[in-house]
Amino acid sequence: MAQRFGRIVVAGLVVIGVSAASARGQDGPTGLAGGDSAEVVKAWGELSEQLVATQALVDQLDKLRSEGADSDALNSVALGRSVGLIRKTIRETEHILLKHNPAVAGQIDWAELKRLIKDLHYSRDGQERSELVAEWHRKLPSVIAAVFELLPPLVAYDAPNDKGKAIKLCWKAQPSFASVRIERFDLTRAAGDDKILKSDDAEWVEVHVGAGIGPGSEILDKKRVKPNHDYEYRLRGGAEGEWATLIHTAPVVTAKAQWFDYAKRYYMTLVLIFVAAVAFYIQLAKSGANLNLRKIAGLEAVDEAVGRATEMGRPILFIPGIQDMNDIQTVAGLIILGHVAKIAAEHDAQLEVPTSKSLVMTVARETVAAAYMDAGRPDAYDEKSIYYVTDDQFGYVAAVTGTMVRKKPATCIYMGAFYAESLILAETANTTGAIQIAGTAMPAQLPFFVAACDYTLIGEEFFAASAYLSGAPDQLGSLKGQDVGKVIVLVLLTIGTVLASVVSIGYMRYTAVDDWLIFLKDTFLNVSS
Amino acid sequence: MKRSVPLFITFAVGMLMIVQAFVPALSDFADLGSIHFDILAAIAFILGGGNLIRSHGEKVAKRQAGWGYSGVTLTFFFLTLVVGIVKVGVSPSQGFSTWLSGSGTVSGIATMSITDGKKYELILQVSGLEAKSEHTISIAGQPAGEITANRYGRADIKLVHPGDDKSPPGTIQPVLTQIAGGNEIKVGGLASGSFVPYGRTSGDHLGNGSAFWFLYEYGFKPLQSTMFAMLAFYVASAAFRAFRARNVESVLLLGTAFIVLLGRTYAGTVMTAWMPETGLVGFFTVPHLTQWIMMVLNTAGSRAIMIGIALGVASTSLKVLLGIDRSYLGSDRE
Repeated sequence: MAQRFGRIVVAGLVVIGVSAASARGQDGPTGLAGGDSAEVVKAWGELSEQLVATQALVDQLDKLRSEGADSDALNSVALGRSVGLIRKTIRETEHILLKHNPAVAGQIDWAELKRLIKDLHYSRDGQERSELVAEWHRKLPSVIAAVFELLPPLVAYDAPNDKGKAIKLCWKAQPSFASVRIERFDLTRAAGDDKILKSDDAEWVEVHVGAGIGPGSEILDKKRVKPNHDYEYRLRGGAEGEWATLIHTAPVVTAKAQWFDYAKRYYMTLVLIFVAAVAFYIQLAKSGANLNLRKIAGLEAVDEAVGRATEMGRPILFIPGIQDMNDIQTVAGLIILGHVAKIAAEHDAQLEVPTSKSLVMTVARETVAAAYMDAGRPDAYDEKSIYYVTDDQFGYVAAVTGTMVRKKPATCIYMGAFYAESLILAETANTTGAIQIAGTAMPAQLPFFVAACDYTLIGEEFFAASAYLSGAPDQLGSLKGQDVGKVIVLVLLTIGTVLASVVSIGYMRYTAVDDWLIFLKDTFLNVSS
Repeated sequence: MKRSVPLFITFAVGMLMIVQAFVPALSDFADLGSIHFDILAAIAFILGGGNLIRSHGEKVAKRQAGWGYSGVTLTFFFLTLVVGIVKVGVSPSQGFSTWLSGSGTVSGIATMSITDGKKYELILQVSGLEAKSEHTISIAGQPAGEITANRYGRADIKLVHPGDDKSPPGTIQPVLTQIAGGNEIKVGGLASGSFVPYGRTSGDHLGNGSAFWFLYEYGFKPLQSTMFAMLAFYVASAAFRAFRARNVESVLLLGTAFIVLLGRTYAGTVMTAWMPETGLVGFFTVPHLTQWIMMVLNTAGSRAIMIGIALGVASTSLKVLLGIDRSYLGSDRE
């Protein structure tokens, strides 16, 4: 394995070196030196994407200027976007060059470039801004071109933070292409080990054919890419039938599954802190510490509602939402059902649970049976009172509202995930005079429940209900742990709000403050990607 | 034991799901988990269906109150089930079941498409041929052209039919039969085969014209729409109760709702059209106020709720995974 990896590293370095040398028209390796080869290729691949996008913006601005656009037009069309992108490119280019090729990095006046971008941003005078744009336009392309030349023409690298089933490719535009008539491109891939790839036995499979991958394209190859397999890519271009006009070969790349999604490192830290806080407070509660819990009116009313049903001799209707057991709201709803069923058993009240999913019916029966047993009334448990209606949303609504109108339950409890049916159910029960308690974590349905029900558990209250009703120390401890999560969120929100406000005023843009804001946004708002 | 095994499964699978969120190499487990859940839910449907038949059957048998409704439910339950399974009125699938199967290493698949809205194009893809080799094609003994295999031993045969005025648009099956149905197709002396159109019930049970489709389109959908339409009336009645000015909070709610309702109508725009659109005064035009209430107040409130929900979900999940809250698993007693 080590030898194989070593061969790939060497092959990668050689190909990169040769490609880069050919791009500069000089002998010997040029830009790439030192460090881990795979890391270098990846870094250059990402930088290629960045430079290609920046180059496109520079061209766009150049076109606008040549068309006689004034500074306001430049500003409104491309400038705002360009300054941000170019600033990012400059920062990342400097970082990569300093890490992998300090010699080249030392030849570029980074401070001057940063000053130019800053001046451009703070300039308020139209004429001055126009001159700055011109200066920026003169300088930046030459810097980009200098770095660009170091890059191999076609870069293929393992897609980061994936399961090893994708390869990313990037290829740059070369000035020489402008004079060549290229109608279509043909990107092919060969798989196998290094030996096969270098022999004639390698089978080249089409990845993309057509005009859709012009210079500067970013391509994500996900066509049956397998982890721990080596791939070599070849890009051909030309007129139909004359493919030899342009041929680039990317260094051999190995698709690898990552064992840790580096982009989610901060997110994972937060999760660990939260889990540790919950575990700590559970232990604290078990040791006998006094944990205060504010009164939740909706849960205080459960006893009263069950008692009312007993007095009136009418049933309690418990609706656990319309989602299946894979929804945490349904699980939370059924946990509350257990507590309600226990109180109902103690009061000898009749409980009815229509369900919209078969699995929910099965679990609800287990839960209610256990509650009746805990209350010492196993004889009072009636399996038939927990029944399946239909999976269909409005079919379920029709059946449940029919039950409400016919049986006129004294109490209706809605605990789970609800959609459009929430208001139909709550309003129907309201017309029958039932006392209603609802709890859900569907933000769009909360206003409906608040308007139509007597008590509503809003979001987190719904999830706290189980701990509240049981009063068990370990469950109360988990609620206290939740508060630590809230403190973390509050701190992050405050920092983010202050930074965003400061940056939006304008004078802190493109400074370290702006960097912190970008970091916060990238880290905590885009974790799903 | 009754609780230990489910608790262990819950813990192990739950932890795996958490870990896979941070480990791309294990991300397939999430899909695998949801597939397993679907299988479980499908099996559990038998329980649900059985329960439905039993409870409604009992009502009908004992002539309990409302047994007529149960009768209607059971009738249509069985009618829909049978019609769906037997595929009553389903059109045959527009394709082939086999072509060139069992002919040594040479094999072929066929795809059909309609071009120019009328012409029917049939592509027969042959593979397993010798690279760069040439072969003659014959249909029912008549020469139908030549093919040359590419370097991978693959070749396409394209048959174009101008279309048939008698065939309604989109019905490929009769045209297929005209082109090659039942005729023997030979690829040189290497392989031969013929099309075997799919059987009568090969089409989708939800395809246009089937009995299941009819029940769904003209029975189920109107009923569903009727239930959904009732929501409009319930919104009005709930709003009427909710927007009563009983205390300070209610007055604030009423005022905010009034502005947003106005802002969503043309009347709101017209009412403040005389005011300038910019500056401090412009802020107080109904459309601007509505937008501000929705973008700032509403978004801030709903995000606060969402953050609370997210923490609540995490906390509840932890309680379930760690077995702190296990009332959903049934009784502790063996």
